[in-house]
Amino acid sequence: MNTSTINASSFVYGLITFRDVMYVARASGLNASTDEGKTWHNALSSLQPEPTPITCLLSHSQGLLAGSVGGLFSSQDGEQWQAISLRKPVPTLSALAVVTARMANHNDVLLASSLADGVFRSDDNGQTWLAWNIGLFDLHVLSLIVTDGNIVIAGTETGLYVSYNAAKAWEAVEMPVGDAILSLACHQGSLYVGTETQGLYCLDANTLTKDTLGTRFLTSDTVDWEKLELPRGAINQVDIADEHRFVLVDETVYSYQQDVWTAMEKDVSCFAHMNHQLALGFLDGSVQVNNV
Amino acid sequence: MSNIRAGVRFQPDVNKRLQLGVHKLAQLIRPTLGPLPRTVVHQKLNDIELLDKGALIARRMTNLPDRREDIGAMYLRHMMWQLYEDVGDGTATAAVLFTTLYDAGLRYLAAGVDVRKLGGALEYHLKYLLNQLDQQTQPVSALAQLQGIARSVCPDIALADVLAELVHDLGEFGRLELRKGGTQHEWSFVEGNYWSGGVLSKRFLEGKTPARIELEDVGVLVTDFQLDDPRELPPILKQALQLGFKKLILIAKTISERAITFLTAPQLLEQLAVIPVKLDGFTQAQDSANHTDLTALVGGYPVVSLGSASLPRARPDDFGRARLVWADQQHVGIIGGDSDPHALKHHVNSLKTAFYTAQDAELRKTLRTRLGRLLGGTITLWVGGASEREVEANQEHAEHTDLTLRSALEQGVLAGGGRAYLTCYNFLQRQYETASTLEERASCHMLLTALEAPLRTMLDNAGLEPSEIIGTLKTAGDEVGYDIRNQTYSNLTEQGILDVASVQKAALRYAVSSVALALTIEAVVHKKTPEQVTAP
Repeated sequence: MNTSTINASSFVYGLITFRDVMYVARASGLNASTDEGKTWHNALSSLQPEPTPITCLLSHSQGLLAGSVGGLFSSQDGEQWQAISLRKPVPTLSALAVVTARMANHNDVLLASSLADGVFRSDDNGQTWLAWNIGLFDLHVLSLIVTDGNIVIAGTETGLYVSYNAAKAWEAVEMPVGDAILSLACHQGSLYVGTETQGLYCLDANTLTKDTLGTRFLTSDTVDWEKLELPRGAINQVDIADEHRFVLVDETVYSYQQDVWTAMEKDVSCFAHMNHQLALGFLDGSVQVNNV
Repeated sequence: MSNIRAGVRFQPDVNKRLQLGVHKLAQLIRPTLGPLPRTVVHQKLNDIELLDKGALIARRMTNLPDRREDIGAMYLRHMMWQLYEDVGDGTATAAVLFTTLYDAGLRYLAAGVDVRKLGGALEYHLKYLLNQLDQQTQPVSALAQLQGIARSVCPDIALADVLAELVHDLGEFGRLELRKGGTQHEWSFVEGNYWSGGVLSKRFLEGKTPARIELEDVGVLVTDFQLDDPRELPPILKQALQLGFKKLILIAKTISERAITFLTAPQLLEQLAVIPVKLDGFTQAQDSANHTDLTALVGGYPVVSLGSASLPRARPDDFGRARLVWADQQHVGIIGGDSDPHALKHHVNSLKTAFYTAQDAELRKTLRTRLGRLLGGTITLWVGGASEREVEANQEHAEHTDLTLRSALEQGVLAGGGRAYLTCYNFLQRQYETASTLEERASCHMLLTALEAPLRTMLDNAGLEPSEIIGTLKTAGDEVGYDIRNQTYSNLTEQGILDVASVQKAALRYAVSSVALALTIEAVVHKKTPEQVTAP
């Protein structure tokens, strides 16, 4: 087990790896570690003033994106960063995602969701950003994911929205319960939706294709939701894969082993599964990397 | 016996002349059915115009020399124009269907069928045919499908492809504004929602370059006030201050100079910046719709004075909020309205329901505009062309193509090139074989002939022999059609050769209903010819 602490009062928002470097998004900024979390250094020193907090991170084919209360920042190597101009009023970013290009000579579409301004998109490698938000009635977006079929799902304060054209136009998806959607995950055609007070739901994401449905108003009658049995609490994060299932309920990480959800760690603010390791960000600002 | 003075004609004198008139107009229309576009030149006073739309060609045609032939042509013209106003397309198809049905119907009349019973049988079989077309209808969502449809109605391929891509992005109701452009087709995206209207006084734009105001985190109060006496404003402003607003957009009808002076006073501006703006509306209903939509987006409620002498008080709940409001002299825009998303979604769904049930074309157009605005985001397409005339023509094509693509998204598509009608053939053949009365058999036979007619016409237009191809298609699977441009049998749906379902159904419905009525004509009363007027 490798542990290290840096700035004990700095809340951890997210963890990712990029080119074998671990990055942690904190209330105090962005830190990087090249030794699996043993030591950390400030990754945003190229920016003045340094943006804080860093609320979300994304690694993509062209580099890194970091979202903040004050906007968006990009880097090709993780060390040299530049600010990206977003329209005023400047959004507070909540999540980042990418729609991978399926055709040659097309760029990936980068997505940045915000707490009050919907979803911004860029199809020119982050040079320019526009918030199309057509049909996105709730602009308070808390979570964002892109499925294997390149369908974009946005979780908002009041429910779920789906986009079939890389976040240009959106349609509301009715859920069995109305609640804030805090977390999203997708695995093997199943969509996992974590709510604030109503638990974790699972849906066959293939039912969200336009060709299959062909309906004008997506109702809970037309899609089949399954509620997973979990301890009560806010589903803050979900990570489902072949070899693991992790859920952050309130501040406790649960793993699914032998048909049972088992509590692993408490006082966790976020986690990331990377290369057979589970990195945990704790409420006290510390980061712990465990082999799993 | 005819009465020359009154211009009255009775059967059997009438039908032949009506039929001739119908044929004369139909001959003009047939070449435009496709698949390769053909045009008709119409001579105007000092100019000519090139037309390729059946309804527009028909509209230009007036006053055949023979009055009875003219009535026949005008009857067909009237049907085509009604169809054009209803669905915007399919008029050439309807003309071909009508002509075929009418010819066959006249033969059966001569053979002694009861015209009333025949009309009833036609309506009966029409219902089943429309049901058959419904079953063939598929939803459309892929860009390639939309491109195929756009290219079939828009002669400018580049414009068709741009429109297909934009409508694919916007969906059924997203807002697309078409403007005249330069030499190229260009488009841009505007975030948020905006209305025609603007700042109520240029004084609020003084010193600003460009002439536009932008207010962030702003309160919005929607009213129908005529702001005349500034003494009536303080209660409203006090309420806004109590709610914590530093900036306020006040929607009103008019504003007096005194009120402007009051609102631009430095003492007020230190506490609260107020910008009065208007939303354009020609009628009270439009005003009400604008107010309802705006409050659905920003929250709050419209404050209505109902023409009373003094302004009503604004309650805290009446105020809405937005992340940003912008306004210039011609428009007012909102970005990030702060309404209840459930209420907004409910309002949008109500308008969608009204749209789907509306029969009136103007009402549907109004509702579509409102929905586009509420959904947020606008694409402006500047339609280009090599000359001003071409730009105008292209803009007309763009409007028509946009409407067609939206109809396709709304109502789905059928295999194109007349294939969908032909797929109904076997079903109707079975009806024919089990028909029990002469009128039922006549109806089936008329419709069987008509179902082939559009494809037969297109094959004729392409210089191909129709009978063999139609014969092959009747025994091939329903998914096999004939690609006329490439002269091959193929899956038309996969090739993107599609027709909008609502158009095909409307064309059939209009043609059958119009023929059923036309066959009941017993006499015509027409204007006297100049010779008849002067005759003793």
